[in-house]
This record gives sequence, structure tokens and C-alpha cells, in this order.
Amino acid sequence: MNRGPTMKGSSRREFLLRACALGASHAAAPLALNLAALGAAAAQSAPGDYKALVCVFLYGGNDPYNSVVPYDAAAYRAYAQARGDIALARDALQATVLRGKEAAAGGAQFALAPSLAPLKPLYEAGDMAVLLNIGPLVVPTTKAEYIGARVPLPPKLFSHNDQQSYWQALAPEGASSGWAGRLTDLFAGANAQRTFTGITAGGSTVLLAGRQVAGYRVGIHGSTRMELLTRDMYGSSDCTALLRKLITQPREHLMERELSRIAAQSIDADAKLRAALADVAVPGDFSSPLAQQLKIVARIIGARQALGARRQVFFVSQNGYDNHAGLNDTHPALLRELGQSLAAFQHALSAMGVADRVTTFTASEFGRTLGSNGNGSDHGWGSHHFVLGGAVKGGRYYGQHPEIARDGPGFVDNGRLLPTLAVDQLGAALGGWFGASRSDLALVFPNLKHFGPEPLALFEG
Amino acid sequence: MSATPSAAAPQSAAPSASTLGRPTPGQASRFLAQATFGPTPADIDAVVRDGYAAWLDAQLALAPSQTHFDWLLQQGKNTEEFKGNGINAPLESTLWRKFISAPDQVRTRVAFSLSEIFVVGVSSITASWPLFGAAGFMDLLAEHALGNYEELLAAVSQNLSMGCMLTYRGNRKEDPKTGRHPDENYAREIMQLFSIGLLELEPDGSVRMVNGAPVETYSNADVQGLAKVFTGWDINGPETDVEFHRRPMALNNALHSMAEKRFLGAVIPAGTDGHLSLKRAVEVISAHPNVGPFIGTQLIQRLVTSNPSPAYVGRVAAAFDDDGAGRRGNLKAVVRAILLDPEARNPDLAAPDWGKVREPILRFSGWARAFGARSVNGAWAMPDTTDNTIRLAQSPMRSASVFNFFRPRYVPPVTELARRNLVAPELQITDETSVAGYLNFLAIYVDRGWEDLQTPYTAEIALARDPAALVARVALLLAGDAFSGQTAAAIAQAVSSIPPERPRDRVRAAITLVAASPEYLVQK
Repeated sequence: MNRGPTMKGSSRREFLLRACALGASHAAAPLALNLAALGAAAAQSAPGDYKALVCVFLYGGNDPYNSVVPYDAAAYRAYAQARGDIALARDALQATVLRGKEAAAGGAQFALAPSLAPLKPLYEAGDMAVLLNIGPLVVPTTKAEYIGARVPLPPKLFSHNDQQSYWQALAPEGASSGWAGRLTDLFAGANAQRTFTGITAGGSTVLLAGRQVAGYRVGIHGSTRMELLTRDMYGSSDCTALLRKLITQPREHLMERELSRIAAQSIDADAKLRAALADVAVPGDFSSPLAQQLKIVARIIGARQALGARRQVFFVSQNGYDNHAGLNDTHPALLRELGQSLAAFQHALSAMGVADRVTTFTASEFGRTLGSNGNGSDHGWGSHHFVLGGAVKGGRYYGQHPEIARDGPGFVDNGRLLPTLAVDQLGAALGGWFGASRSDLALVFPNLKHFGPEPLALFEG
Repeated sequence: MSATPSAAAPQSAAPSASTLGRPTPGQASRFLAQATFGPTPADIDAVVRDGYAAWLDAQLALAPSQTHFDWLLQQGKNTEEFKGNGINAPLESTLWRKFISAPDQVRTRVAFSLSEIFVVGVSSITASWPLFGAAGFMDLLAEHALGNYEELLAAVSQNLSMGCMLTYRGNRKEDPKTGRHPDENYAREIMQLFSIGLLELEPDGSVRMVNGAPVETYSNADVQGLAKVFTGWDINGPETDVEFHRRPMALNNALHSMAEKRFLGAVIPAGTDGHLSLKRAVEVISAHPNVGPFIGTQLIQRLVTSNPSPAYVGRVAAAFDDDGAGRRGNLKAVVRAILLDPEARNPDLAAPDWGKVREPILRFSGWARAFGARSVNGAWAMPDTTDNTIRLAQSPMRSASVFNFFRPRYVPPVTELARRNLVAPELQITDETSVAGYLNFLAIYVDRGWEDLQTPYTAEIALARDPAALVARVALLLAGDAFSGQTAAAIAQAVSSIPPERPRDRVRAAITLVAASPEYLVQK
């Protein structure tokens, strides 16, 4: 459902400016405008082309050190000493040591957690990249600058909800648009139906909110039908007709208006999606909760032509990563679900012939403390993440892992990774692959300009 | 019930804000939607007869009704069958039982509101009989709901279910040799969620600005200092019967940090034992000037409106700071201030930003209370209502995280609400799936109740030959004086297309249509 007129150049610019003002830290400098670049954003996609981004959000704050584990002898020794009772045993890591296209800086070696084993072949085939130490940053930040508060910092660090929002919208809770939504606004004309541009199977998210629509919500089987509208209410077609009118008619009250809009969209999108998905099957084993979400994403991708979609962003999520306690009881099972789901999804996309059209990335509100609190770890900042897909220049690490020392220059506040890659850099790399110009990316990611002229070269070509 | 049909007249003249005159039935109904789990005909009559304040004071004077814990014991649920963390179905039974039928409705409603601030999810309770843990936690909230905030915070902090939820059960002191530090989880969330929040506030709830920027209330150093307080606490007694869930956690001083504890500008000296440290920490947190506006705003949001004016928040925070007798943190005074405030009692019902989306749990309880649905056999076999395709997308004591089903500052993106800097917490669980799921559930329970929860719709069926009167009664009971005559007339006309020989179907259709309407779904 389209709620507004087609975006004209000037209103689009106003929106992007407003989005940037909201997205920027209150301490950030005002934006420089590149008016010339704004005109040309429209026609990014040729007929037949299709690209999708899939965000896999790990709610709770994934523990980076027990996901991508330092393996070379010196680094492992430092890791084991710093982590104590929550360290993974080195013997158990042997089978998942990553052997990629490129060695890490300084000859560092890393192993995936044993329960992420299904991802190792993807990495080694070049279909997965590892991002080391990425997180929210306003500007590149040193430890001294952090301690002295000498540079603008992302607000409300270490707070779950606010850092979830920062990863999704580059602003704390209350943000009114997400970076993926702002990105898809650039391609609004590419899709027959704006509703199916940003789709969440993983709950409410600000990531997909753009100028016209927020994310459209589906369940693991697709849309949900209002059964009352499929029959006459107690034999009365008048009652059913009135029900449809009451729940969808525009309202003056702002909350009622939103309820009506959602109900109207629910009815409209259910009819279209139900028809488009009718004959779409996806091969593979998708039994876990996360895999079931990825399966409906794969099915919707399979229905892309029926839906008239050329640019889509999907959101799925997995809960349970806030492992203050019982890290080594809980975390391996979560990662097993993650690794199996991502691998199944990637294999399905290959079978569907769209592996190079879909890029999947993990995100999580923060990393965790290097040190143990007894049997878990606490809220941190920087973390490690994965980017998967046929278009990804994989089998490589991006970013750098600092020397492992709780009080070393790479860590703040007693063992929390100080990020050296910014969320904006990841977003811009994904956006560039999607087809956004550099000048548009500068508007979608207002702090990108602080991180150097060269984009993160995550993709082939 | 007296005077019902005419009472739905939507635009009765509001008394001036300074006086709370005798309410109309419509006003009484709207008050009861804020103060209880939903108006009943008898309560509407009582509020009309006694006035808001007298009715409320009588409620506030009631002793707590039978606890969830005692009811579960009485039903014999303390058996091996319920010892593991399975479906915990009897928890639903007792929670809904009290929501729908407890006489101490205000206390029960406030306790439920507190359960959305001090959040425990039953699936996180890592001790035997988790349903007793969750039940006992809700009982604890009810016990203190009209008591003192500091005592509430102390009780919550020593509760085993909270100790499980935020993982400080079994938390050990720091170990300089290995570098082990105490678990920071509770220390952070007790400040962020249960007391003061992240930013310094003015007494009216607005964010305090210093040199044009907000001021964060605490740093990581405060979290690390406070974390030492919550060490050494664990389950109190063996898991041979369920009673350990009712006892405060026990302190093992050998595992408690005896180091100096610094947080929020306070210093607990080295060598202070665990009981004293906890007492002192709760005192320090409770004394923070943010507590009144921070907790007050959220209670207003849970009971009355999503976007209270700063003046309203200021009045409620003032009642928190001083109940009129010089006492701080008197929650009874806070609840009274919230519900009797002129802004709550006499709002502009036509204002496009007044009110709140009725959370789904309250939609179901409101239906049951309005139409007298009761368990016919005492079992109260309610389901887990979390499913979002054919249930409510919300189930009490089953939030997936300590951040509740929805956040108090949730701004629905891409809306006029966002443009006007307004929040709408309940819209965080409102989406294309859950709007259909609610209607799918509504269609079931209005038609045939739920298991043993049944209503004969006697009073409504008596009006079914007069659709206008029927709809007026339904609208009064569900939406008070905030349902338009125009919509009521449209519903009455549609209902009249159902033959009068099927009066029960007319009743069901009328209730379904009112309860599906956005006008009802936003509580004014």
C-alpha cells in the first residue's frame, strides 16, 4: 500500500537531510550538501536485475571471542588467560580453523566456534567474509579519546535497546528511520509494490523504516489472514462489510490512524503475498526458529517476480545472546542454530540460482567483556560479524583484531573492544553493492565521511 | 445496570478540570478502564454513585486478595508434573483469574503494570517450579504495589525469579588473581529500567539539558561499582518444596564482595557485608531525583496515556517525592495522583494524541469483565496468548526480555506520531500479523468464550431487539464515553441485518464490531 505521493526530488532531499539529522549524534558536525549528486539517484536498476540484503540480528549482544576465536599460539594464550573459565579449549577449535584466501594481518589465525562449523566451508569457498571488531562509532576513536571524551561517541553505549537501535538506525532508541529503509527509499521506483521492499520475519525493527513505509511483518508461513473477512459475520454481509470499513478507514486520532493503516496494509498485502507464494517451495532443512524465518525470506525471494520486486531488505532475528551467565551452556546451541540456518539459507539460494543476488549479514547490539564474570560475559562494544553471499569477496578478514589485553590500547572499560570498523562502513559497503551512489551513501550514513575516502571493499569487482 | 443505553452519548459536557464532579456512566467506564482490568456494570454504577475518589479510596484500602501462589497450592500444582520448565499452563490460569475476577482490581492492575517495568519472564526462571516463581513475583508486586517504592525495590532485588532473570543468582565477588569480575547485568538494569533511566530528568520528566546536551545518569564505572553489591545472593533453601520461591534469596557473605563499592556518587566502604550493602544501594538509588518522573511517567503510560503533559508528570512526580505527609515513594499516593489527575479525568477526547493503544491483554480482560465471563468450573484454562497469528501477541509474565513487550519510549517510525515526537509503546507489538491475529482470537472468544471461561450475555441478549440500545451498552462497557455516536449507529444498523430471532448472534456481532474498531482500540 502506498501511503503518499511519489517522492519528488526536493522532498526526497528534505527527507534525507532530516533522516541524517536524526541519525547523527548531537555532537556531529552539520552535513555538507552535495546538491548536484541528489538529482540522479532514481534509475539504479535495469530490468530483470534483483538484489536483496538480509540482516540476521543476534539479540542480546553476541560474545565475539567465543564466536571467532584467536587461534595462533600467542593470541590463543592471551585469549585463554583473559577469559579464564569461559575460554573455549584450543583442541576443540582445530577442525574449525579458518583457512581463507588471504591471511589476516600479522599472520594471525582464527577459528570459528566449533558449533559454527557449517560456516567454515562457506568462508573457504569465498562466500563468507569475517568482519573483525566492528561497532557503533561517530568518528574513528582511540582509547585516549574515549577516556577523555574528546570525540563524539555514540550515545548510550552498553545499553541493549539503544545499541540495537544504533546498529539499525545509527541513533539510539526513538529513531524514526533505519539505514536500510533510507537506502531502499533510493530505489522506491524499482519495486512494483513498496510494501514488499522491507520485510521483517524477526519482529519489530527500525532498520527497515524509510520515508514511506516501515517494515512489513510476516510470520514464518507468510502473511496472516483475517478469518472474519473470509465469511459473512453471523450470516450478515453487512456486518462483514462494516468490519472491513471500520478497521481500515482513515482516522483523525494519530494512534487510530496507525492502526487503520496497518490493518489496511495487512489485508492488501496478505492477498498479494498469499497468491505469490502459493507455488514457491524452498529446498533444505529449515527446522529451527531462525531457519524458519530464513525459509520464508527465501520463499519471498523466490516469489520476487510475482511481487515485482527488484530491491528488497529482509530482517530476521535470534534471541538469547545476553549470556551474562551460563555462556558455555547456552552460547554453543545458539551458534549451532545460527550456523546451520545460515548454511541452509545459502545452499537454498544457490539452488535457486540467486546466491550472488543476496547478501546476508549478522548484526548484534554489542560485543561483550573479554574477561569472565564467573560463567559469562558482560556488555561490551565492538564485535565480530559475518557477511555471506556469492557477491561477497569472502575468505577474508576485514578490519583488525587488537592485541588481546584487557587493559591494552584496543580495549576500554576493563576489557571491552573499542571498535575499529564503524557500522556506517558496513552499511555503506552493502549500500554500494545495492547500487547507491557515493553521494547518496554519504546522506544515508551521515558519519561515513569520517572514516576515510575508500569504501570497505567487501564485494567482487 | 441503570441508565445504560442513554449513557453512551459521546459528547457529554466535561466538568472543569479543577473539579471532579459526579461522573456520568460513560466517564465512570473510561475511569475504570484506566484503574482496573475493565469496567463492569456494577463498578460503573458504584463510581457514578460514589464518585471517583471515594470509589478509588475504597479500592486502595482493600487488603490483597488470595495470592497466585496460594491458589496454585490450593489447586495442587506443586507436583512433579510442574517442576520443570514446561508449558507452565496453571500460571496463565491464576494470572487471568485475578485479572478478570479479583476484587482488589486497582492493586492487581498496578501490579500488572509494575510487571511491565520490573520484568520477569517465566521461561527465564532457572529453578524448579518456575510457575511458582513467576506467580510469587507477581504476588510480590501486588504486595508492594500500593506500598513504598524503596521497599518494593529491595524486595524485587532479593527475589529469586529476578535473580534468575538478570543472572545475579549465584553471582560471585571479583577475583583479582583470575581477573574475574562480578556479573554486571542487574547493576545496569536496576538503574536503566527499574529506577532512574539513562538520562537525567527534570521533575516534569523532560530530559535535563546542560550546555545543550543531555546528561547520562551513570557510567560503566558506576555499573561495575554497583555490581559488587549483587554478589553472594542465591536460592534460599532446598528445592524439595516450592516455598523457596517465596523467601528472599539468601546471602553467602563468603561470595560477597567486601571491596569498596562506588556508584552514583555514593561510597559503600570496604568491609561492608551483603545485607547492609544491598540496603544502602537501594536507598541510594531510591533517593535519586529521577525516580519520581521516571517511574511516574511509565505508570501513567501503563494506566492512562502514552504522552502525558509535562505538568501531569510533574504532579505525579511531586506525589512520589512527598505524599502530603512528608513521605517519599508512597505508591498509593502516586496511583491516586495518576488516576484522579484532571488530565486523566477530563481530557479533550477529540485530541488526536490523547490516550494509549489498549494493550492486547487488557482487551481480553476487558471483554471478560464487561460481559461477566467467569470460569464455570474454577479451572480458568487460559492459553499462553503469545502467538501473534491467532492470539494476542502478548501473554502476562512471558516477555521475551527484561525490556518488556514494548518500550515506553517506542516511536512508530514513518508516522505522524514520529513527526510530532510522540511515543506509542503498544504499537511496537502492532503489525500486519498481530492485527489479524487479534481479530482471529476475538472472533473465537466473543463467539464461544474460551474453554471454561463463559458468559451467557444475559443483559445484552435482553436488548438485542433494539440494536441501538444493544450497541450503546456494548460501547459503554468497552469504550466508555469515547466511542462516537456515528460509529455506534453504523454498527447498530449492520447488526439489525441479523434476524431478531437470533439475539445471541446480534450480541456477538455487536461486540466483535465494537472491539475491532480503532476507536475502541485506543483507550482514551
